[in-house]
Amino acid sequence: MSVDIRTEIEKANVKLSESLKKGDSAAAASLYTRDAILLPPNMGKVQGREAVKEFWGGAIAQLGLKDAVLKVEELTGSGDTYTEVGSYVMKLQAKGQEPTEDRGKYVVVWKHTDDGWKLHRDIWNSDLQPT
Amino acid sequence: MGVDIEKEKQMLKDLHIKMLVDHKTDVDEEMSYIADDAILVPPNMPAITGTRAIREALNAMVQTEVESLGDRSRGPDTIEVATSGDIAYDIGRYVVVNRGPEGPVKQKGRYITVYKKVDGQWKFVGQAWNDVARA
Repeated sequence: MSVDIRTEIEKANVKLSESLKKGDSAAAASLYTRDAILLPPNMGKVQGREAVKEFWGGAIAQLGLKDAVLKVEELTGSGDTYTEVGSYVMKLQAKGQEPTEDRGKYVVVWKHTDDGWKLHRDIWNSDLQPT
Repeated sequence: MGVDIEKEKQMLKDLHIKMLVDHKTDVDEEMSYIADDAILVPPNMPAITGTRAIREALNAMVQTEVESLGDRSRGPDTIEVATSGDIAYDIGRYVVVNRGPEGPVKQKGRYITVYKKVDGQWKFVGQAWNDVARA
């Protein structure tokens, strides 16, 4: 695998983390393809960049998402498609609540577009039992 | 010569049926379709990595699963094959009924499965899933 692709995907992950940390759901959504699909835990499919923006906006406003650190564990693929298995640590603090931390893992299908590597399919879940 | 994407999709659909319908209780057969470096990404527990751990997980699933409905019998909602022809993924829905301490528990959800070509054969390399409802 090209080292450059791993580096580019790691950089895109950092951009996603920074966007979420800033509470900028539009910037986060711009890192996804126009026809991206998210499959978040315990809810239906989120499809399209506008819906992705709304989803992350909701996570920031309602769940109090403050930070998401993403780490590439495995990357495989070729050409314009790579799949990543990674791990995450999210920091959350909903209004009036104590801060909490969630740890888990994810699978992202990355697609190369005219605008660089974009998240095309994204699914994640917690390592922790629900409280 | 270019990749015949439709032919590859059909091969993947056939693999899906073999893994999840024809041999869903035959763990040895299922393991033959799984790559050595495969990873399962289940909700509310750590990732399951490598063939030994996956075999244990499949054995446990066979013990607890009462019934699988929905997608498993008809294939995934979408299969996409990369233009390179050696990596693919699908998205689908599941309905599974498991034995629980207080009786059967029905779980509905969605998954993404990733496949890669190993020595000319499609192999399952990873799957992540999330429940969307529990009853």
